[in-house]
Amino acid sequence: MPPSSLTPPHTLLQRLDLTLRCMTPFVITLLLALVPVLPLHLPHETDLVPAFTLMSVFYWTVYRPDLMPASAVFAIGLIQDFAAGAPLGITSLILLGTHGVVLGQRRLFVGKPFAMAWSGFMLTAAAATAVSWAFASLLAGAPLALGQPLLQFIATLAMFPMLAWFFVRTHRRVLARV
Amino acid sequence: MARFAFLSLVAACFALMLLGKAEIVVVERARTALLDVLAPVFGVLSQPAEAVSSAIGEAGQVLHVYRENRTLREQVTRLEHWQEAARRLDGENQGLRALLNFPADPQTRSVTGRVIGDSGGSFVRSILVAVGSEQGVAKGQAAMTGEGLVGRVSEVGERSARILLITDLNSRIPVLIESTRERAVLAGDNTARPRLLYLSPDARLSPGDRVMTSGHGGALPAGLPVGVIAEVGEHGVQVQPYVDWARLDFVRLLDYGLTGILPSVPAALPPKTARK
Repeated sequence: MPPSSLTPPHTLLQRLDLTLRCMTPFVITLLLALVPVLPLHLPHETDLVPAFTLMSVFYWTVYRPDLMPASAVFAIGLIQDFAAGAPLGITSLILLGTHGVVLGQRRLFVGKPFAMAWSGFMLTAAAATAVSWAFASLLAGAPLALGQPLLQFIATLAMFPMLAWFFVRTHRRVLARV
Repeated sequence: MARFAFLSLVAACFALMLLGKAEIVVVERARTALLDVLAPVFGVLSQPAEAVSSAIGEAGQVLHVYRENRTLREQVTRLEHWQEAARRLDGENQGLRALLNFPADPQTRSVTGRVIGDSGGSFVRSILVAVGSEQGVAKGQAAMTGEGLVGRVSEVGERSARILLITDLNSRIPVLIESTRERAVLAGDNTARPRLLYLSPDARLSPGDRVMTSGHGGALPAGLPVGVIAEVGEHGVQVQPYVDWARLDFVRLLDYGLTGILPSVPAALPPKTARK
């Protein structure tokens, strides 16, 4: 291990650098929360927006839980609901649930092949889809159509390796010594 | 300690759901305030997104330019006839109105806004536009494109507003069928084709019938084009809206001076300038 990881930061710049690096997972997830709302004008786009924040919260909870605390997860969910105009609280609850469950099981994934993390994510995303559908139906007072949540689940699952690759790169580049 | 914090955050989620469901003014104010904060962010972020999507669109258009040109020429010829017919009917209409001493429809003001945000979730259908109460936008106003009705204003910030699309689960628009004058309520169900509710049992409908707003309930003006009936089946009557959801760049918000059935939150600032 390089010596810099052992010495505490001294100068203001070093501390600023450290803080910014530590905030990377939160900032990335926050930006991902805003992506679905951008008007990309792709055909049928609204049906197929993957749950980017779910992937991000899953990844960082597994690999850097210290940089993805529950309060950050809550804030991200809240901002996503605000931005999307969705009923408040559902996304926060889903993300917090994911965070809580994954935190207890993260040893299953750390240091294991990627397929393990992917299948773990599949179960998590399936549960998250089911729960969010149930709560959205409850708030709407009637069972909602299942087609779109299902499509979203598939899109989320398919996108996970790509986003995970990006997270791994970020993890190695920005957070290697943090 | 961490466990307690986690549980209280979960409890906060449930509390938020209940508060949101109860439609408390504070929550709405908070939503509106955050809308204004996020609007510039989306305004900036949506520009590269728009550039990319328009570049893709243009590349596609080059391929079809000849065919499109021919179609457009045919359309122009056909529409010229219609224009003539419309002018003749307009004149006749004005004359008849004058004969009957029928008051003219109230003047409408409109303000056009750029779409800066699509709805992100799979349970909502709404868009954000970059105009707000400063430009005279108020809750309940109709949002149109050149093609037809998009939705109505559901949240208003100072410089931004959210429009609930006619396809959203919570959208209910009083409509009528143009040919038969049959009344119904157009109800969104989060799919691309909203349905008609409360049709009378002996209603005669067929695919291709035009649907427009009826103006009942005082919520929206009458006669705004909405869509055509796409399917009459066991699962109800589905309407295909005129609006092309994939090309929603600008929407026009119409102010007919109708207060409607939605209680509107008082605007933070009076409109600065009057528009025609």
